[in-house]
Amino acid sequence: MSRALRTSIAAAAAIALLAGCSAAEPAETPASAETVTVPSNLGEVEVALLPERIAVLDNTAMETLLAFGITPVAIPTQLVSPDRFSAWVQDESIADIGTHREPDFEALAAADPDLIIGGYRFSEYTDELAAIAPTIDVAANEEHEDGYVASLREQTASLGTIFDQQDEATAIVDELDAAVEAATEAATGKSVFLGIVNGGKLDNGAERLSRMADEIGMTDVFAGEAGDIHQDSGLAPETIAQADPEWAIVLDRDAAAGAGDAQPAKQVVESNPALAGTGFVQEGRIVYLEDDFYRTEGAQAYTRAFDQIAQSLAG
Amino acid sequence: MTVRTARERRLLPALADVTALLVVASLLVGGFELSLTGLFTDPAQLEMFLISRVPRTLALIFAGIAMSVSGVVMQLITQNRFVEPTTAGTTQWAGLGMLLVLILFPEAPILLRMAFATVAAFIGTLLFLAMLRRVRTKGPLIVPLVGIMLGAIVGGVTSFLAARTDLLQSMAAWSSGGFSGIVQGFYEPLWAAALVAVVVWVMADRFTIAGLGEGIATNLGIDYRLITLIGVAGVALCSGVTSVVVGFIPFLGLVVPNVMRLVLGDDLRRSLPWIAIAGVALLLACDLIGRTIVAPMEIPASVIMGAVGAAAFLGFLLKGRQRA
Repeated sequence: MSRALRTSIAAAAAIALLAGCSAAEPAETPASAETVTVPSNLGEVEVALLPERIAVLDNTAMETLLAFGITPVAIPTQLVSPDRFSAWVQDESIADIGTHREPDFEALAAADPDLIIGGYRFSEYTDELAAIAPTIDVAANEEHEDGYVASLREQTASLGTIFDQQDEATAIVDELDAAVEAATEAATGKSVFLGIVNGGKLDNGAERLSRMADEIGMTDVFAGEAGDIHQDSGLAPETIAQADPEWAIVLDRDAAAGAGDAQPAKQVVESNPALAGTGFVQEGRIVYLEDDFYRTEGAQAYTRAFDQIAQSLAG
Repeated sequence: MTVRTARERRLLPALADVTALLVVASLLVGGFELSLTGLFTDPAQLEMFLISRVPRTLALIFAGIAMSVSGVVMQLITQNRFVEPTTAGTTQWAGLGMLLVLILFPEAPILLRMAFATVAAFIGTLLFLAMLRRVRTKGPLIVPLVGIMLGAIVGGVTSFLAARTDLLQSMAAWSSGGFSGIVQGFYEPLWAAALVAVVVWVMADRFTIAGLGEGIATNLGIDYRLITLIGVAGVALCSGVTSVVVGFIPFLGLVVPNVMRLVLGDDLRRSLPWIAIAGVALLLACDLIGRTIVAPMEIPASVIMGAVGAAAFLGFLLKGRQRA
């Protein structure tokens, strides 16, 4: 199905929904069999409008749901940023359904969700999840034809449709758009090294971050160079020094994981003697993404990252 | 003086030449553009040479010595030529020690991490030897199997703990056995491997005799237990330091001593320097391959070594079976 057609169906659904809301039947009785159709990573899906018991497995959707004021019945607690989602993490009534490495389907079933927002880390379990409750995968997705950031917009709109929070969804997307615009203005054409710090080692983080650089027209100095194989590969600091990019954007995986050995990325990058002579270290042109970026990666996280980039580059 | 065979007269100088060439290549190949003339004319090139190339090459040399010397010492102590730190569980214990220090003392300095890794490797290796004493049939395959099983159990415990504490990816990063991140200030603890190699060489005759078995060694007036303890301590120190600085390097300690034994026999005093040199050459070669085939990115030396070593291990096993 073409994107235009998909969008128009979504729009039609949204209009139908709005029409429904303005009709005599008020929104207080969502238990009706009313459904909406939204685009998903597995094609168009029909979802019951205003589900009440939500299991959220997709980290990229969480902040939007938080903004909608939704309290889920089940989350993968260990994958959730404990500070940003302290209300959820500390809520004893929200079931912990384990991680994608060790999912606890029984706990998920016991939470009795009306809707499971799956996908992302849990995309390989879609069948198991669907056996428990209706499951959608509207996760932000690099495979999206217009890229990751576009999929964030689409995801936000879809969630807005399902939870009848179109205004809030539009506001989230507007902020993202504004941040993209500001970052693009500041960054287009600048060369950048996309780094990831993991286990105290600095490596190429292109797979995770190139979507960000691409969106705002930055040039990754290692673009297309074996991509991101950061777990069993390496990138020598001298190679980064040779490339000598104008900027560096660094994701701190150690801080994100709350790793006990967290050598803050700042220390790893700025105390490395081989990098001392590079422009980005000498001029301090390094953007360290938020500590929990690795866990969120949603529309709001990207908005804040683009804001950070715009401010750093303007300053 | 021992009589040198014609094969040795040809092979050993060739090995020395190849190693020297590999050292030079390691000093000249890399992501930063360096040239021989540039080293003398361009201060930036000389600086990067000293910050990056020299430390990396030294790290490779010391790690090569550490793993090959550890391998031969363990093979003598256990009287089994398939034993080395990764098949006896020693490195897995070192990994457990490292993980424990990360969980218990997250801000621990590198020396404390090494101490934990070394102590864990020491305890684990003694446990392996104690288990071997209880195994009745010590066939050439049983001994490494016991070690591999023990190592798998310890590795499993480590992975479980890492998963529980969300350190799994971090652990994968530091245990992946790569030299790409080595720069000045990161490799220095590996000098300990050189120290261990010297101690082993000084005591080489005693290790050779210990390699004849506890009964013969004791009859010849050797304190077998003391020699074993010193050997295990040296192996633990080598494994602990190497694990912390560069990660796990599999099979090196197995392949090199076995190949060199075919050439030089069992006299450790004579063969140890050549075992160390061959270990250095093999590790340098693996690292250079990893450094160049996906440049500017790198494949860790341990991955290349794992492929080469696993094939060699199988080869030795099958050959051993035919003889048995």
